[in-house]
Amino acid sequence: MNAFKLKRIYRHGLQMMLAVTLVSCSNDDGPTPTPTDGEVFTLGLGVTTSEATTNYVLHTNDLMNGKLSLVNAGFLQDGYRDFTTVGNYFYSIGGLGLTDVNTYYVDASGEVAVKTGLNLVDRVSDAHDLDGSGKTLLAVTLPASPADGTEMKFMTVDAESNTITRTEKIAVDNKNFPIENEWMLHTGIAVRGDQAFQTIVPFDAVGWKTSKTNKTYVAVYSYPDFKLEKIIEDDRTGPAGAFGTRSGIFATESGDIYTISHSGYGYSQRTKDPAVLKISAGASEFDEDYLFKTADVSNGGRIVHAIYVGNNKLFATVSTGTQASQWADDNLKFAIVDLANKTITTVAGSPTFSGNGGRSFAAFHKNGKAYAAATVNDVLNIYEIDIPAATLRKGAQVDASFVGGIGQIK
Amino acid sequence: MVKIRLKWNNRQKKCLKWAILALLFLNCADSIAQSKVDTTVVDTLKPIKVEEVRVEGKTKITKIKEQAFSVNVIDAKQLYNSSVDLNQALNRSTGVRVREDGGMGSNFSFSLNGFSGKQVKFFLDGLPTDNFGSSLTLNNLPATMAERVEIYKGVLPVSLGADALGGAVNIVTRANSNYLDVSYGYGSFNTHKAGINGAFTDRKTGFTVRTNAFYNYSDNNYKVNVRPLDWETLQDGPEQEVERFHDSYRSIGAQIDVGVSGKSYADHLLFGAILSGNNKDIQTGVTMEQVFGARTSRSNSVIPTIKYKKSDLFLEGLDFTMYGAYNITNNHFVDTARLRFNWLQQTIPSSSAESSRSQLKNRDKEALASANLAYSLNDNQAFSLNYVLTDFQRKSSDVENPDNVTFLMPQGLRKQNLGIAWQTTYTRFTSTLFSKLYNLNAKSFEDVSTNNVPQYEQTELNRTHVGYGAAAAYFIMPNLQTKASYEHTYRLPEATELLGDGLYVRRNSNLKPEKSDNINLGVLYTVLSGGVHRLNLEGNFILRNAKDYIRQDQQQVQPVDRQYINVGDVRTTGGEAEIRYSWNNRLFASVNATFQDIIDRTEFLISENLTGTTRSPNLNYGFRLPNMPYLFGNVNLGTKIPTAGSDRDAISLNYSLGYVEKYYFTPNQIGSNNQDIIPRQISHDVFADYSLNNGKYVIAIECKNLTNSRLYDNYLLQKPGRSFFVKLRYFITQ
Repeated sequence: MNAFKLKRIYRHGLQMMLAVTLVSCSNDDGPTPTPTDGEVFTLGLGVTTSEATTNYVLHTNDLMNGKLSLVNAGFLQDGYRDFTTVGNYFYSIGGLGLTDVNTYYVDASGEVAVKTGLNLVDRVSDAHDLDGSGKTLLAVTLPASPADGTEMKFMTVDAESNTITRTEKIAVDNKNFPIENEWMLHTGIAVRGDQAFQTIVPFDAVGWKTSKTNKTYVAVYSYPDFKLEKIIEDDRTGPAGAFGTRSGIFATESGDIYTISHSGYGYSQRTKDPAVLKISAGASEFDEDYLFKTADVSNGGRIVHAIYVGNNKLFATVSTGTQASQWADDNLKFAIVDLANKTITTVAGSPTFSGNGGRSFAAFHKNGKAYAAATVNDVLNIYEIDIPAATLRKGAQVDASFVGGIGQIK
Repeated sequence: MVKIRLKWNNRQKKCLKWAILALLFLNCADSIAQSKVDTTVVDTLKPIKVEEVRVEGKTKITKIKEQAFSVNVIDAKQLYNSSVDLNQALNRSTGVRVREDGGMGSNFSFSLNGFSGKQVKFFLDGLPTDNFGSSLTLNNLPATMAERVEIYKGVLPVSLGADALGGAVNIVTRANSNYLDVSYGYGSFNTHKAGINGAFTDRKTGFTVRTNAFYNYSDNNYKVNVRPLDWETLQDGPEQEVERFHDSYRSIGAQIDVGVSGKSYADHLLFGAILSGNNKDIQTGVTMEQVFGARTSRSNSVIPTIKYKKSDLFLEGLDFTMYGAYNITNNHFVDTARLRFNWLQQTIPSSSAESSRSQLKNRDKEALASANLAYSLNDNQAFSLNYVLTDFQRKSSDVENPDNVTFLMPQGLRKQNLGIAWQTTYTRFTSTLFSKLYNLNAKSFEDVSTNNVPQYEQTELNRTHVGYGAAAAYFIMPNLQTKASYEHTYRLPEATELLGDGLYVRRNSNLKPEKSDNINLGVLYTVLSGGVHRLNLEGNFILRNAKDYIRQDQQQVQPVDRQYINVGDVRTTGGEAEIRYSWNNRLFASVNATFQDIIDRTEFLISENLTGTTRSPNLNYGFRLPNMPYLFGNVNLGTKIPTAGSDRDAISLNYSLGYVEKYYFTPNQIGSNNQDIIPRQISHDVFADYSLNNGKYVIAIECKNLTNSRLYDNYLLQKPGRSFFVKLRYFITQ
């Protein structure tokens, strides 16, 4: 009883009721709309309360100054979401049960608008700009376990019309893939000419253990019909990418393809050193002369999350130190990885932070600048990274629990 | 606190005026009460069946109502002619919200003053029913099986022994010694409801048989407005009205007790069993976008029971009651159709199942025992000691997923509650002081693998907690009673929350129980009694200060190996008021309203993992908890008209209105034009019955949702539109 001062609480209760009555009567002014002249950036933001995580899409003119707040701003998204940018479209994909697609863009009248109605039905393992042309979204759906389905689908969506233009399917079984009696994860896909290269990680869908960690596996498909041509393997390092990160494989302008193995986040065991492998332009086998052991170079470590930023370079978060457990995604620093020259440059002034685990890397780049977010001392901020100089500038503070995606629609 | 600006515009002034009026009303309601002789608290003021109520029911209900606890009592007799189940009856009570996903048999959540799920406990004649299976939940049980339903808010007498954080509901079955009550009804959506209740007591030998049985069936094929998905283009089609096609529900149950009563060794000694089962088609996922055409679940329960009661055991004034049961419940869930459905019942092939292939079987076994010893020292002093044991064990299996490690070893949870209370009763004053001991023993198993070779170990944990409380009531005037009650209470963790399940949930042996300090202040005032006009008022103020809610750590984003943590402090302040009026036993009216301001007091979300502690501000801190109704009420109007030429026949007409203010599914202050709104709901129900021969034969007609409003309790899950129901009832008693 001592904990309460009854009288005061009763009075507070009444004041609260009064306040609530007043608030509920107040005019519904609505938020001040963000101007859509100039640049318009979009953020996929997650708000975690003690009960649940809710996702929102917020747009802003300025990623670098002030506070980005969701109070009376931002569009609520149903359920778990993934975010990706294709051209001037920002996609929010997910939902409660089914997988709906909300496509945000700036319409002819200069307003931020959304296209809805498209439903991919299955759980999306990956969705990104197919070839960097800003016209087509490639979505890969792979069930979480054979109980949920035994087919993997490759769907292409025309961004302009928001319609599915092609769906190809392949059975996920041990005839097609080297998974024996287990299941697999999709960890990345890259399209080059008439071929698509997909990194996979065999894993046990019941216990979520990874027992096959002695090889890198790449499934090679014909494109655009996604007929499986072959699986190529290399035992110089472990599987590329990890659960949910979509950072397993990248293609360069010249047609070289690199696979990124880190043996860190998402792996229940580590049997090989982290390394990058290469499939050279024109070839569809691993280049035996190329091996980039990422932990052995200066500033090295595990390349857990990355996006390709051009000129054989990745903008990445690199984890150092011992991997504490299967799901630890920490000790991260922003870095620029030069795949051709096999170097890692830590971004000067980069904070050390923890990642969002099984999510695609919330980052985008343009004009030599990359944008990403990190939480440091309980505060979430946007960072702008100068890619050539490997320096950073701290941007706007974000009043949300995490940034799930960043993009630009104008 | 919210700052109030000094300059007021007209709109704000108007608001202030209304707000002050509302506060005055609540204060008035708080300062009024009702008398000792006229406290039949009912939810629908339907005409009273003379024999049923006046003889015994009223005194019992009055007694319970006048306890120092904050308690609502639903007189089930008043609902016997209608088709309502206990859920719907409870939903008309202050402080209670029952939110249903759809029609008959649909999933529901019960909340009491903002507490929900396992924070509120349910009892059948004082025995905990939490694990009784889905065929014995409140939405299956007809009102005709109950004598009354007691709703204890926040503070519980020791006789209801359970770790109830926010209160409890106790269903008291009918105790008439000789009667038969048979009813059958049919209504919209091919809905059938039948019930048989009866008791036979041989006055000479003491041989006693008591039984109640129910049968419910509905196609639930009500119409909903949806945008069916086109399987060719995967685009949502235009909105249209379709009929639900895979939503039928059937439940059947019976409770039989056989034994003796009125013996020297026992007031009653009854051996019996509860047998029940249900079949349920599953139409949708968590939203109506996800449509199923073949998923099903079913459940069956077999519960042998023994009931014993002896007054004046060994010495005068020492009463002993005992209730024992063994609950065997099987739940079976099936998703094996390799098809996907849309709302137009068009299908496409699916490689495994509609959603996730499963033939999950849960086999639950639970031993329950409750014993109560009450001793009246003299007219003014009494002591009682109460003990409740529940020992629950679940074994699961799934032929579709035989390697799932969570099925490896059974999970067990044994709870023991010991309560001791001291009661004082004087003419105008009554009080009770009590303490409760909660003991928990949880069993599970843990993944102790150090590499990829799986290795599991059985784990066990014991916990003990002490709760306490007090309640007092005082008649300031014979027609004005004031009440106050307080309890420091707990909700103990479940075995999985504490010890993990070997895969999805990781052990957190530091987990504390949820705890709450609950305070009720109430006033019952009888403004008018005895004459042609009768007017009763009741007002309650509630305060709940709950801490350490147990929830899954939302900041651990990995798919498995997540923990339950103590996160969530919630403070609820609220008021409830009810006005009841009757004129000459011919016209009846009642209005009630509940306002509960349920505020999230969790300032920071703290997540611990192997690499340290992360702390992030909770953006809902200081705001109302989303997805919880905060303002709701009911209006009931009724009249009884004797038919010409006979005072043994009567027609009654009733109208009831249900109101729930709009609320949001997610934090409302975040996001613009928050669309996940559960809009303001107003539903109108009308009900008429014609009773002949003093209620021996009754025919009743009912229309629910008269205006065919689109009703929702949960996000985007549409409830039935207008429906009709006809019921026939036959009742005899000695």
